Amino acid sequence: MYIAGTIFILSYVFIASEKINKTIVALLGASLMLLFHIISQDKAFEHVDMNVISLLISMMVLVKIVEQTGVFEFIAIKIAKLVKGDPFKIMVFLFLLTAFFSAMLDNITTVLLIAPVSILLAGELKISPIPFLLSQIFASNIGGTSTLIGDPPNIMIGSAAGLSFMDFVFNLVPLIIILLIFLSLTFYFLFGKKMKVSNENRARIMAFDEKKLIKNPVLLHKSLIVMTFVIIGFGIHGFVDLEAATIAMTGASILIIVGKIDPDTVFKEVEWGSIFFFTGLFIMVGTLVETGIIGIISKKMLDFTHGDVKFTAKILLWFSGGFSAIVDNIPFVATMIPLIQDMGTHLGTHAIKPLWWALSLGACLGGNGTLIGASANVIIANMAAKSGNKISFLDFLKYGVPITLMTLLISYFYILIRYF
Amino acid sequence: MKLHHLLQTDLIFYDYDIKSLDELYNAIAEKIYDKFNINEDKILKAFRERENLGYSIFSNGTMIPHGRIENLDDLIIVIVKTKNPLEISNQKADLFYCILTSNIGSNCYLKTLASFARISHEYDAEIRSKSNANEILDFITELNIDIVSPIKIKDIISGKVVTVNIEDTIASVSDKMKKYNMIFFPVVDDEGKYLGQINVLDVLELAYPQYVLMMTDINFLSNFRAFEEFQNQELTTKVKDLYTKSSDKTINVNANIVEFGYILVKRHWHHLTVVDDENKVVGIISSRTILQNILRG
Repeated sequence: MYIAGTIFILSYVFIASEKINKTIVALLGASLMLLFHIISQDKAFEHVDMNVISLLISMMVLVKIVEQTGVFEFIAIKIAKLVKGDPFKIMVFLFLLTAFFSAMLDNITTVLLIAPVSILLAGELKISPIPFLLSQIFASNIGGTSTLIGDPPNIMIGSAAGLSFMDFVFNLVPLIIILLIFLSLTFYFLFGKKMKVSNENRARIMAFDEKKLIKNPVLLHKSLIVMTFVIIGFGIHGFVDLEAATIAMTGASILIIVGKIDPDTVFKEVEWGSIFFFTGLFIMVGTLVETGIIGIISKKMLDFTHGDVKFTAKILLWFSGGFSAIVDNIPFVATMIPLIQDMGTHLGTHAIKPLWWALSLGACLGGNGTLIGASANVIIANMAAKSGNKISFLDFLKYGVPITLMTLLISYFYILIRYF
Repeated sequence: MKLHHLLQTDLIFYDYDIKSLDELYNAIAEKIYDKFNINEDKILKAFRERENLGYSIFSNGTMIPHGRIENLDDLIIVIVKTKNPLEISNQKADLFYCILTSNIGSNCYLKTLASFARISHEYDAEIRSKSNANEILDFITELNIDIVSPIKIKDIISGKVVTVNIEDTIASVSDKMKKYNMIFFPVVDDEGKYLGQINVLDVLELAYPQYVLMMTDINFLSNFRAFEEFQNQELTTKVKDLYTKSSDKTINVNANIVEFGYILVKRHWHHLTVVDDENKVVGIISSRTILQNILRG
């Protein structure tokens, strides 16, 4: 048990330090658990949540196919033209669009699609792209919080707690809408007045012919039809007793066939690094469960909170928010899930439901705290730097910390009012 | 395998009295028919097919007629020194190294071709000083030419090396590309040591920054600022900002052509920088070299 704990903590430190590739650390940590006979391989693999793994892979496949139709960039450019090149309106609508896409796709894919268009638009308008990019970082993390498939922590929570896509929508979407309105207003006071562009530069945007981006309308139509069915499937999967992974896997397979996609090409695009990272993590956390470490910590936490779910939810929200701002939220959530499950065996699975929402909100919204709080932040920062617009760690903190505190505070009241 | 092991005195003819290339081909075809029972018409056809691509005549009066015969599982060499030079398309030749192989090529074919090219360049006077078939064979035997070990890079690179310094501006690189009609240069430090390379696409990256390359397409644009500002950028950006650092796009000057071809085919590259043991750039070598020296030598 002590060896398991040591391996786990060391792996965690290495993952947080980012000195070694996190996937390799997770796999190595898992291998050590097996090598020391702390857990048998059969048992270890039982802890790998194939529901999460196959949902992730299926969504990656779906998105990679839809992405190549150019539809995401089409929508972004279309919006810029609909608002007649007005920079602040572009910023707000791309902010909302990023939030919406992040809810439906993973955050990294979303920012990889929207951020380049934003830098291009800012370049043509001759304004700094940084306000656009900052707003998109916040949007990706906030939007991702709203659905089961929006962010990996939610996928894990949904799978472990048996929460459906619609459970997430009912419980989190109202709050997310409040947060998005709040942030749009904040942006107006921060950037709205300062954004001025010349008439000529605005005309450059209006000259874009975004229809040309849709080069394969046939594939686009097929993709949209399949995606519509997938989203309907997500909407009803809880009622028809199917897992979200089943829906996504069916959708991905059908789109590969009807879209005449070469499976090998699209499978190569799957981010296998992330998939193996999850596998390693599941095994390590599974070992903690099997050795009883999780049970002991959960017991301690129950003693500390006296089984008070309201108090626990408050702590969970703020603690996971703070923690996720500094380190990767995926290993954190992976560890918290069995802990909360264990508490559920004492308090009742229904009673602990608010804890899942507190965990999800804390872990996902916390990602906005620092530039390294979430992968999407790092990707945008790198992209900005390469386009000659550096976002420094401290610059980001000036926006990230207050915004994270405010969104967590709003979430805090939301949880208190709605569940207690 | 040694070149001289492929030669036989009865296929070396000294002071042969013939008047034209046709006559030479006919004579050779007859000899080969006698010795190997190969259809004479096929032999003539093989030489003429190759000839249609141009004559392989060197200025010192040596010609290397060669050809491929379908399903000939062999490599046959006939050496002929004519009594008087033959007139062949405004050039003169009196020493002929004739080579026949199959349509798929024998292992030693290319090397044999190259070996005769080398003999012609380096030992022409010696060969011509011999007075009979045996002396010629003895001389080639002395040279002890290995035809299984492939040609070395240093034997086929051209002398002139154009490089750019890591501190040069991109504008000067573009100028140099135009001047030398080249689309890539090795990048070197002040001591001439290899650091990487820069090609015309690296230069173009100034007009297409990374964020646009991440998009599906930019065909919707009617104007694009980075492209319009290319010329200003070109003056202020340096080679070190854009070049590709690599150590594997080089080949040692002592490496051989087989290694070189392998790298090109495997990596789908078209050129490599040739460096010496101290990593100094001594030349560049491209897929064109393979075409000119080997495939159609």
